[in-house]
Formats: sequence, C-alpha cells, structure tokens
Amino acid sequence: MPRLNLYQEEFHPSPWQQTWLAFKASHIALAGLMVLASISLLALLAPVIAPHSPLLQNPDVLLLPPVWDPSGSLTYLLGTDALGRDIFSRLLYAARTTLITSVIVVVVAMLIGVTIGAIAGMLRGVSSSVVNHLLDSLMAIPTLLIAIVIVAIMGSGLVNSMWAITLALIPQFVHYTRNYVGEEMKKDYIRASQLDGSTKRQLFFYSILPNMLEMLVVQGTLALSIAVLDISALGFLNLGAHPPSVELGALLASSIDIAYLAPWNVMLPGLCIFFLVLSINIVGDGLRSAIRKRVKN
Amino acid sequence: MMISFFRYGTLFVLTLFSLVSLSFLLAHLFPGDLLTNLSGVAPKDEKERQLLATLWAVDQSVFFRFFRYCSLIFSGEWGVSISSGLPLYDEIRRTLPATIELSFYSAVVAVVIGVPIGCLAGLKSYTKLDYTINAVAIVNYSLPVFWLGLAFILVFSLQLNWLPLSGRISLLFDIPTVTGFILIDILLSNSLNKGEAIANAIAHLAMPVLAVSLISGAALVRLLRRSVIDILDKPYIASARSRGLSSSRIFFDHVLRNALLPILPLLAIQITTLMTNAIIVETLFSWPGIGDWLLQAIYQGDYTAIRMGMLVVAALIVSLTIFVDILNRLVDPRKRMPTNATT
Repeated sequence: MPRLNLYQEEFHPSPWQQTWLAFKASHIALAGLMVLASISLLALLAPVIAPHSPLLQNPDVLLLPPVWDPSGSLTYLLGTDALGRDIFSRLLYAARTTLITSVIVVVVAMLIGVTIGAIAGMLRGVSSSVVNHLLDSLMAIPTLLIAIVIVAIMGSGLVNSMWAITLALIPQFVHYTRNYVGEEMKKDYIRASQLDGSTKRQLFFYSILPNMLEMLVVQGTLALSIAVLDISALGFLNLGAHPPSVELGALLASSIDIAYLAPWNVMLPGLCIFFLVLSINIVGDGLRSAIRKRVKN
Repeated sequence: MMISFFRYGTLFVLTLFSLVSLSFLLAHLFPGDLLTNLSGVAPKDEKERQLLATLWAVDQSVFFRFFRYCSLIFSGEWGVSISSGLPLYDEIRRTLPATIELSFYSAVVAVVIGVPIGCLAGLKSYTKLDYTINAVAIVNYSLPVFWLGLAFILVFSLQLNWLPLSGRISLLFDIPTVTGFILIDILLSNSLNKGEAIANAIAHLAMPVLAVSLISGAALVRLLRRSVIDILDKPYIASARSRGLSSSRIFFDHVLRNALLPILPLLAIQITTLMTNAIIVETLFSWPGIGDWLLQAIYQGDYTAIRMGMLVVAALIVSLTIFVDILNRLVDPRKRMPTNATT
C-alpha cells in the first residue's frame, strides 16, 4: 500500500513496518510495550540500580513499611522484610531472574517445538498419524504435573524447573507449526516450488517459515506470559529457585508467614508478576490485532 | 461416525498405555531401591522381600515385570505410600473427588460468567462497553492465581472475617464420606441441619472457586468475544438480517451456535489450565485434594505417591480432553465425515 507524501517520494512500507504502524496506532498496546520495556530495563540493570544487595540483612530495621507510609524511610524505598533486607532491591533481582529464565525457556521451547512441528506437518501416512496422536496426548498433560514429575526425579531448583517448563511449552508450538505447515503444504505456491525441485528443507525455510514468522512471534509472547506465571508458580510452591537466588514467586512464598503483619511483603512481588504478565499480554494482543489489520488491508 | 469413535477409542487406549509405561519407567528413574519404588514398602527381612519381589516380579525380565505392573494397576493394587504406609488406591479415592469437585464448580462458574459476558462484548464490539469488558478480562487473565487467592484470604477472611480460611467444611458438622463430593455427601447424610451444613460448605468453597473461575472465565470471555466478532462478519448473518429476522432470533439461531463451535476444541486446553490452577489453589486453602496431596508427596520424597498421583491426574485429563473432542465432533456436522489425523 503506497503512502502519498507531499514532500518526499512515494513510501512503500515493508510488511514488518506496516505491522509496526498498525501496532503504533493502538495507544494501549504502545503503553503496554513501554511498561514491558521499562520493567525489562529495570530488571536487566538490577545490579546498577539496586540501592542495596538483595541478600544484605539489616537487623536494625525489620519489617519497615514502604516510603509512602508515615513510618517509612527513604533509604528503603519499598520497606524491608522480616530479616531487614531491602524489598526494592530484592524485587529488582527477582524480576531479573524470572524474566531472563522465562525468555530462555520460551526461545528453547520455540526452537524445539517448531522443528518437531515442521517435521510432523510434512509427514504423510501412518507415521504422521502416530506422531500426531502422540503429540495430541502429550498436549493434554498439565504443565505443573510435568514440572512436578521432573522436579521429583531431578530434585528442585531453578534449572530443573526451567527444563520442566520448556518441556511443557513445546507442545503448543508443535501444534501450531504442524497445523500451519499442513495447511500451507496444500497451497499452490508450495506446489510451484516443489515442481522447481526444492527439497522439503528448502520448502520450509524459504517458503513457509517467512510466512509464519509473525504469528510465531505472537505465539512466543503468549508462551512468555505462561512461562512467567509457571516459573513463579513453581517458585511459590518451593519447587523452583532456592533461597540464595531470588525469584518473584519464591519471594512471595517466603513472606506468606508475615502476610498479616506486613502485607506489602506479599502484595509487591504479586503486583510485579501481575504487571509483567499484563504488559506481555497487552503487547501480544496488540501485535495480533496489528497483524490482523494488515492482512485485512 | 463409527469409524471416528473407533479412532478415539484406539487413541484413548494408546494414550493410557503410554501413560502407564511412563509411570513404569518413572519407578526405574526415581532414586532408591526399585522394589521400594514399586511397592512403597521397605522390606524388613529377607522373607518379606521375597514375597514382595514375587508380587511385583522384580527379579523377572523387564517385559514380564511390565505385564505384572499393568495387571496390578488395573486390579486396583497400587501399592502403598512410602511416607504414610496407607494404600494408594484409598488415598487417591479420598483426595481425587475433592479436586474434581473444586474444578467442576469452577468450570461451571466460569462458563456462567464467561459466556454471557463474552457474547455481550462480541455483540457490542468496539464500543466503550466492549473495551471495559476486554480490559477487565485481560487484567483477570494476567493475575497469578496464587496471588489472587492470597489477596482473597487477606481481604475476605482476615480483614472482613466473612469467609472461612481453609478446609472443606467446619469440623462441627459430622458428615460421613460416601462419594467424596462434599455437597452430595451432605444431601445423602441424615444430619439434622442440612441447610446449615450446605451453607457452611459453600462458604468454604467460595474463595477457591472464585479464584480459579475468575481466571478461566476471563480466558473464555476473550475467546468468545473474538469468535462472535468473526461470526458477525460472515455473509450469512448479513443475509439473515436482510430477510428481516429479529435480532434476538439472529443471535440465538445463527450467531451463538456458530460462535460456540470453534471454542469447544479450545476448551480442552482450558481444562488443563483450570486443573493446574485448582492444584495451586488447593495448597493455599488447605483443600484436601490431590494437588495438595501430590505436593506433600514431593516434599517428603514419596515416590510411589508421585507416580500414581501423576498417572491418575493425567489419565483423568486425557479422558476429559478426548471426551471434549468427541463432543466437538458430535456437535459440529462438518466434522462428522471420517477424517484421519493427517488432515
């Protein structure tokens, strides 16, 4: 769609640019992107920003309320926990752990899932039937259950829970890729390049993958929000990260005992998870409707 | 039709078979003695060991052991829990109904809330009402369930003191366990004050059910809204309108039924999320269900309990998913043609 500009020559936005323009038109989606960007920035720069070490205990100020409370103090912006550790710094480090592990988990799951899905989608006959049935039954087992079993075999810990969630996220990518590849394989442009003698590998990488890349990004954001929720849920159930490393769900679980005395200890990590997931979901939604708008035009 | 039923039958049997083999494999993967991992008993002397070894066929070949394992599982001989020493069959028989009850009520509440609101948002799409509903739905959808449950506890039981904190029913009521479903048990019992007992049980149910159903309901609202908007764009709706059908007739006859169809397969995925959330919520509210029981088993390293609990929950969810698939095929006439998995 050429856009007329009085001062310059005609401008033909590429598909990615068109998506970005449609995405930008939605203010909510843009706000979500900004929130997500600022949370990620805060989390990634945690070692630079954090005013205290997340593990440093100060026995003089236990359970200090946040700064907006009359008895709060500016040294500890969001107060302290039962051991006198600065909650703000702990939150930053915890968000960092949760975010980085979730991104790694999603990327690994996407790579494996798309590979299996592409192979399954190009299979024909009995082998396809067997593979697809097996994958369908795998889809049905809940994430948490797979995670529990893996943790039971290998012991609890952040890395093991990451493996568990990777395994649990793979099926949805497989499912999506398999359906998409299966649909595309029937279309004429695939037949054309088949007639040109392209192998299955070339078909996938040069013809199908560029078409599905965008929706794959959308799927990735959905998976990211699930990954954040699952990693913090495992942390909350004491199956994920162990004490020296801070993680949002584990942070929340460790302060349940003092939930009545110092509710901000429970509410702040929860709010942090919530805003992280909310902004990811809003960005994902915005991206999806932007792509829908572009395809419609 | 018969062919597709046969397909689902084989799919179900194959999946169950692979789940049983997986649990058999787990017994070999877990740390510790194989015999203890299978039976749950640490034999005290050589004689007891010999007895158990013949029962579970530990000294025989792997194939024979697997065959024995399958036959024992199907006859209800699931071994005993390592930590408590109670038979696993009875333990699961006690905890599973509590989880099913919690998930079932949550699913019902989610559908009752989600379907009308989702339809409303779809019909009034791109208006202020739609944006409000959408915003509330996406906020609910992003809430971590354990945090929502904690917030409920803080507000409704600690601050306002309206609802009880944990458990299924107050200890004052003596309800004999018949089915394991608390509301049915109360109705079956010959207790004097059934009304009070039911009110008490519902007060205990309110917070966990609400926590789970708010999140699943929000997901349902989003799915249904999208589906209704897509259907309203279809030419047959325009043709129905041009024929002068009333808007309620268009909605119930043409929109609703077609909008619900694409949602059914997605519901199968929602079932697994709902069960996962129910398991997490159980630990918060000390609901005596299978999720709480499984987590205790993990903390105590109770490998027999983990193995059997996983098998039972996975089997339950797989059967539910296949049931939804069959339902989908029955309801949707376009799918009644026999198809194979490749298409």
